[in-house]
Amino acid sequence: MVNTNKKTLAIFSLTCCEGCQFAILRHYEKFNSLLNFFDIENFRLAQSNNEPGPYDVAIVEGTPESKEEIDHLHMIRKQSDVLITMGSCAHLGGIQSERNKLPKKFIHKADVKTVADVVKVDYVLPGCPVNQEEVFKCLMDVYWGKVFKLPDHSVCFECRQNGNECLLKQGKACLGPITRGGCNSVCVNAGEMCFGCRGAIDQANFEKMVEILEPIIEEREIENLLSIFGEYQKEWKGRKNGK
Amino acid sequence: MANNAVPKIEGHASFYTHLKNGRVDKARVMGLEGERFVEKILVGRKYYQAPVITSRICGICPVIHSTTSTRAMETAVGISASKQTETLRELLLCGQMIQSHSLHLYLLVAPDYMGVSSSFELQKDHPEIFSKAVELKKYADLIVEVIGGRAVHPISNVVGGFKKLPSSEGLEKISEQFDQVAETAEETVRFFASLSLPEIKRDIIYSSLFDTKKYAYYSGDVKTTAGDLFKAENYTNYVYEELVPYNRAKFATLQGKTMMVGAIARYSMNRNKLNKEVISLIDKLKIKDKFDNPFENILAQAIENYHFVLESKNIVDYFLREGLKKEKVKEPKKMSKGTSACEAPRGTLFHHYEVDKDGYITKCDIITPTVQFLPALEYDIKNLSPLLKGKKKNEQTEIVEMLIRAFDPCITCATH
Repeated sequence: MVNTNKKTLAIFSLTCCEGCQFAILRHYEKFNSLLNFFDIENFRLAQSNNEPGPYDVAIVEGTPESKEEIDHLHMIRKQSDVLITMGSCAHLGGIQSERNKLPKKFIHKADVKTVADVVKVDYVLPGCPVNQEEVFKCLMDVYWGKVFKLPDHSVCFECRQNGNECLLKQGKACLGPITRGGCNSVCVNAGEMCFGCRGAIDQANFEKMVEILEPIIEEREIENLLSIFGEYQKEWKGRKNGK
Repeated sequence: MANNAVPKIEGHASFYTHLKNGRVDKARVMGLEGERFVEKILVGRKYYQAPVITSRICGICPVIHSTTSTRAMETAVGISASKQTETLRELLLCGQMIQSHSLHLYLLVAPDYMGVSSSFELQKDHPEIFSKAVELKKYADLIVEVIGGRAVHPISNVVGGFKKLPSSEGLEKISEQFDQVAETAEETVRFFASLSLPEIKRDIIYSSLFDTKKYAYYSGDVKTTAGDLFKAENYTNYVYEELVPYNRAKFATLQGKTMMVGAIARYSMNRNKLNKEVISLIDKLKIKDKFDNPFENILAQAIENYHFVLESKNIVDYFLREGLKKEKVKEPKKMSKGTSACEAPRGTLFHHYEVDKDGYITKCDIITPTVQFLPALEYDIKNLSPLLKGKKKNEQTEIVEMLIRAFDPCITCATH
């Protein structure tokens, strides 16, 4: 049956690696089933005929860097009913946000901003890259007019369910306890530590996390770890203040 | 004519060409993506974070960045990877090549030649072609997922080895798909060989990795058709990187000379080292030994795609036969500097690191393939003049875009 009530969807990319776009194109059949509910009006990576807005839903990945990108982002917001950010860059600033700490004489550019620093964001899809299933779940919730909610448990919760041996207990660093779950602890499943790409959960206790890490790695490295995909603490503090 | 972001390429780029008396007088390709200063961000971070962060340079080629970075960092910290680790990485790179080539060939390039505007239309109008893309991409994603732990931004491959070895079930799953995928890859070569590509001829220096025994992609020295042969660590003596005022991406040259890297260069230089089945196919199809038309990069990619499917089969078969040994991730022995070069889908990628005595990065330098062929792309846009003559503006734009797509630039890589 042909769905006559399709919503329009646009996928935009600002400065980033575009890995999230590839992540959602993975398992193409799944992406394809999405086309039963959404007409893709704008998706530069995959098509030439890109329509101007308005759109029902817009997904944005990356950080707005130049004036053009910031203007573009304002335009997207204006034209879209629902704006969803995708990936760590849009959410936390991404790996590039580290450059905000570099001496200004090297970098003749304004600080890296997150999408939420510039425009109002309706939903956040975290992760580097995003979890494809989570993206589709969010889009379907939006389609049916439901409120999409991110899981509010830590990566540890999923990690234990997956039967992984705890890295911290083995004396190895890991950011699982403060990081938002929903990734199915994919990194720890593959033997690596959690680098915190999905940002902090609401109840994150950074002081305690640092306390746990202190005997394992030096202070400099802890600072390093807590800022790979953006300032984890900054985002969390912003949320605490009801921002 | 000037143009906004070129659709269907990796990253944002636009181009500007100036026509004078029917000839392209000026051609500029501009990266629109913001610079992320990845090389500077890494300074002050612990050595093991280099592959984690550099893989985020690009979403379509994270595997090659993470692998090249791991290898360079291993040299810097005095680790020599085990044979098994190296073979697993080779398999990862096979996955990377197929991922990138099949996506580029079918979803970005094919619509140009089938008279449709997007991969979605391709899916509607030519489902048989579209399904090939999906099949190849899925196979490649599976390899990267089984070996690396995730299809985009793989996880397990780290400085010192693999944090987790692939399961035999995983390897078996890959092997089940071989026959079907190899057939599709062969058809892919036939299909792209049957297209009539726009024709321009030019003479240009090719540069790629070279190995006396095999079709080099993971290791080897850099060889050029200008007669150079050098080790990765000497790259600064040969590959000059410079800033161009109008571009956010840097431009690199071979000691000031324009060069071309990527599938077309690899094929033209190492054709005889391809898998025997591939060679017999290209002989049968009467495909040239060397390519001199930049549009033929597409065909070179299709041929490589087939080669890497067969190569991945050999490696997986080997592991299924011999099994995998449990190995510990090796610890650093000394702290100094290291360079490595691998063949990315788009050409030779260089990573160079220096670390202090505590293992923190003090210097990082990355030269991406796109940066090395941007001057060649501008040069070839000028060579398009005869094809642009007497055409309408939108047709001209189309042809220039087709050339840009044939080069397969990755602007996110170029503006790291």
